[in-house]
Amino acid sequence: MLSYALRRVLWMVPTLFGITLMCFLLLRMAGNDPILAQFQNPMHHQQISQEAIAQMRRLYDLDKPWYVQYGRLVTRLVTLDLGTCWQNGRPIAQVIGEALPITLLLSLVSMLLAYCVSIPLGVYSAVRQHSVSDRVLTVALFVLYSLPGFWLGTMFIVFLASGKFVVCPWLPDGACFPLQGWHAFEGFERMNAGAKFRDVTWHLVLPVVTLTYPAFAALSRYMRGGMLETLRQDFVRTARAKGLSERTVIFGHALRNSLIPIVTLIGLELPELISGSVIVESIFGVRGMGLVALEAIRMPDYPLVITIVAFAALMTMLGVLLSDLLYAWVDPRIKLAQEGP
Amino acid sequence: MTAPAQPLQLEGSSLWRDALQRLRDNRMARLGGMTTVLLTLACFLGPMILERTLGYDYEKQNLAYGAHPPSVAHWFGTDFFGRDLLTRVLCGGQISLVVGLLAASVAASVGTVYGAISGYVGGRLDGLMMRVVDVIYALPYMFLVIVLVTIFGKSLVLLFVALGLVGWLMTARIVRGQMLTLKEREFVLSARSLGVSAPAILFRHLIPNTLGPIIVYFTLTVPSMILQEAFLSFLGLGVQAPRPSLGGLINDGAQHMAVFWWELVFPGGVMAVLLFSLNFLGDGVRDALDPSLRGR
Repeated sequence: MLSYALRRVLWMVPTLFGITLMCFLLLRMAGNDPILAQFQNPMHHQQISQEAIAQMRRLYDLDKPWYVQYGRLVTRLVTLDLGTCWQNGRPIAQVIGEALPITLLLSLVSMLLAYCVSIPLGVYSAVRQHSVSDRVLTVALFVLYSLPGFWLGTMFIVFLASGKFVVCPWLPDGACFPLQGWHAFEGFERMNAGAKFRDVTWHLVLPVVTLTYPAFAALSRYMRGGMLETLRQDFVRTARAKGLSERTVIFGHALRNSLIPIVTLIGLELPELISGSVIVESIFGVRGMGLVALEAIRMPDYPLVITIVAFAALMTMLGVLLSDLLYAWVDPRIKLAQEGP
Repeated sequence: MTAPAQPLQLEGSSLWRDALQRLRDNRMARLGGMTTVLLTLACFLGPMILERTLGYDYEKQNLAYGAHPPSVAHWFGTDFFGRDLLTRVLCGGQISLVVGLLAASVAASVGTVYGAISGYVGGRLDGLMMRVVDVIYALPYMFLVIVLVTIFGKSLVLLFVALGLVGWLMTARIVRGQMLTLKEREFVLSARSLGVSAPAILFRHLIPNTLGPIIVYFTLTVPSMILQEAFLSFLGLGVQAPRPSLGGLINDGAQHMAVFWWELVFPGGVMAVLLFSLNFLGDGVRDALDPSLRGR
């Protein structure tokens, strides 16, 4: 298994090259000029000389052929000398260092919530297969899954956070939830740890719910399927025949074995969450990786885009690898070595 | 037409007829299918009828009238420019349906051909082609779509090409997997020994045999493409004003926030109904074509 994992990790190197190269070429084909983009911005409404523009092009390697520009980008990425953002001159490492924890926090809380809700729901509908509650639950989760996330998120903001429809009079503005951001704009630094925790939690409720609810349907379905399959197996019948209570059979024996498929999904959930975070962050104005990436692509800020893409791709590949390894680890019947690159 | 009944009709029921029967028996899928048909009809005929009878148009502005909540004359209300929201939502639904179908078709065709070639030829080429799939697969999906849309510009025609070009990976993997087992079967050997060329074997014998999984994946791709188009339009990257799209309409509604609530509720509501009827239909198709998955 170790050699298998090692081989997979080694394969990530050429894959990462491929990904960054593809992204880079696409950005270059798009032909948006980042320098012009910066100065067409009404905020920078000064005259700028041709010389200054030429100098900036030289500085950003934009005057060189694509392979030189790409080569320099990759060299900086490999040596971890990331440089600065073109937009505001801040170090890229710092920008990512600020955005990443927020996205991670959102994703981890969301994943935890998804599993904590889906596992009991899946077990419940498997144990009561074909009952009315099973069917109602399945349909309800499916309907929930079909609601567009960006719409529901906006609805949450309008109806729960505007203070015009649903009102919580005991809160300062009458709004039940904050409109934007992941912490209070004013006075957050001065809060003590407890107040900070409460503030962040209050700000994260709506984004986390918006990010999580589509996962309920798929996860609880996998759980239900896995549970049904386990319940049909001989050892469950043996356990029942021994006279164990239904409770012990389900929670002691069947549940653990049917967790296999759903546990391995953790790794595959990761890319979903990265994509989902673009949606949630742009609606709720949370400055995480998704929003930073969106701005970087629009400019396009080559070093920042390449860094984020490489990072996200690495996370995705590690996630897939993790899920494959988990699968082999929890289910020894699976052999990895024959398959895969 | 007037030919006597052919003895062929006495054949036992085929795989497809069985599947159709199973689909008909599935109550939720039937409901989803009916709603989809109704919504499609409404989206394509509704704006025409509204224009003929009441003179509503998706871009004709009536600033003096302005935004009004839902009423008998305007079921979904009007927007800031006095345009009938129902007309705009139906036109947006049209675009969503077209983009969803075309993008899913692009994805399915590219994926099928790619996966079939990769699986059939095998060996080195297969390894290389699947590495390419791995590379694209590891790219964050949303980024890729956004980058592609920026490149292709904001044209409606190229929007679905961009969406389709990103969405073919799973189909390619599924078809390749099917190919690997199918190409060892006797009917391929017999076709080959009869001197049938490789492309003919591929397109006449092998691909038709993988049609089941392709159709299943296609029906499940349509709603996800619609969702992505809507999100891109919501970000202002997709369909451009004054042409309405459901995502763009939701964005308009979000701009006016709590003032004109109907601008947010109706486009999103119609979109949600469209998506879950398509999802139910797709789920039913999956159950029908692959009974072993039933109840999963």
